Amino acid sequence: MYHVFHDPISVRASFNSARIKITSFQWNKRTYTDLRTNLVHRVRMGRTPLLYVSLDDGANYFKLLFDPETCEWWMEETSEV
Amino acid sequence: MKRYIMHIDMNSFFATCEQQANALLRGMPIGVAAYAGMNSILLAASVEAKQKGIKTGTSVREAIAICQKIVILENDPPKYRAISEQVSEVLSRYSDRIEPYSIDESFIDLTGWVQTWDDARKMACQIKKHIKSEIGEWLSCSIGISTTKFLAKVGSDMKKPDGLVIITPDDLPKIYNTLELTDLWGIAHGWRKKLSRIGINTIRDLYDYPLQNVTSLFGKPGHALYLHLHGFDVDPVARQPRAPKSISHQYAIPKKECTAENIPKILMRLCEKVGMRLRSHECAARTVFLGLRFFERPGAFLHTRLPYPVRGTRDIYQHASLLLKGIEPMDHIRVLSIGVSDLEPLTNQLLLFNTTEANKSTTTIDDILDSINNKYGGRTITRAATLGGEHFVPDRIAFGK
Repeated sequence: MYHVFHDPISVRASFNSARIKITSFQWNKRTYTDLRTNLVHRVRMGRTPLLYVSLDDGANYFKLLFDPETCEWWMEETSEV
Repeated sequence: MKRYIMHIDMNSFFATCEQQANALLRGMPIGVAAYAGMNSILLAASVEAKQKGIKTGTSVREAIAICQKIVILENDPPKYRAISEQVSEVLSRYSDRIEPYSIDESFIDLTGWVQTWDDARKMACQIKKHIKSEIGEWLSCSIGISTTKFLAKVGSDMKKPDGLVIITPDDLPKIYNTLELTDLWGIAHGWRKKLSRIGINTIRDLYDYPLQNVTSLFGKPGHALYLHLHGFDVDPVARQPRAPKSISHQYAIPKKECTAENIPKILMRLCEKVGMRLRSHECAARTVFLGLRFFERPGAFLHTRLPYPVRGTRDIYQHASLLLKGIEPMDHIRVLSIGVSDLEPLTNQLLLFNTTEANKSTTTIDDILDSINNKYGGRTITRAATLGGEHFVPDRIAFGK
């Protein structure tokens, strides 16, 4: 079951040419670490290429959104096992 | 010159994209549905679901009856398009002649890029490896390699998932002994029935049938089928995407939305989508058509041929509305589709006997609306006629080609 949000979050990430690696993020007063990035895909909202990052911590799935124009991260979707 | 054509088919594409994004779903039977609800149908089933007998096109209700543990997800078209673009980018490194056939299938002409069948096999393995390492390790594809598009497609369908089949001219007609008629590209149950009536029940029967007889019985399609089957290259890989012959959109209207008040809004939404695509191809259309399916009676297909080409949303809407006029009761419409055909390239030719100014003004407005929506995305600006119907006609990916 997926839960849909649009919550602003704090993310620690490294950008390496075409690759993005999320090290940790904070959401709902909790810090999530040991993350595995599964998929990065770009979706154009007009001329803005929004970046979606799908990842999991072994027990939960997360879909994050990065807006390169504002450099803001958002929690978009989660589900548990 | 010996030709090397490759067909690549991403396995259970929508479902594996979801499993790639959410690793917790891997190894589980999952289905991707058009929308949430028991009456929706599966657009894709994962390999694990297929092993349990759940196929594309199965209703959610049936799928749950077959496997209670199946996870049903709503489709996410932007994700599939993005992954499809990434796959195309990988393929573009291997040849300059790539023909996308659908969101999850492409033909690649490797002629000149490889010298032997073994080279082609190595290239196919590399493509598979690059897709896994650069896009996602859960994504797999079946690849067929042969001398024509038809045989390459037959090859990729022979081994799924994660297959690699090479059909050389020497393999013909031996390879057909292992296949059913309906395994051939373009032969479904209708063709099988027709062929069965003249005693053709296997591919070998069809292969051995004289060309003149096939042509006289089935005309051009029969002639093409014979040539495909014998390995003649009659359909080369297109370098450029082929221009569309028609553009259409349809919407299966949920019962609660099906009211006489909503139908014009849905119609306008469909016309907006058709018009926007028509203008993006820099075409105008001479025919507007309307398809209807009802809850309790047979459907209808109506069309009108226009004396002048149209490309504006309002023009398409006006003609579609005229076709819809007289259809009663409107709240019995189950599926509404709008389309345009007889497309022709856009010219600046002025019309002598027409309301040119009116057409010109709507087209200019459409061009401005298109450029705003292309710049800021989605439906940044829209017609007042669709207000309150924003959720009608959501983004979807069509079946097949």
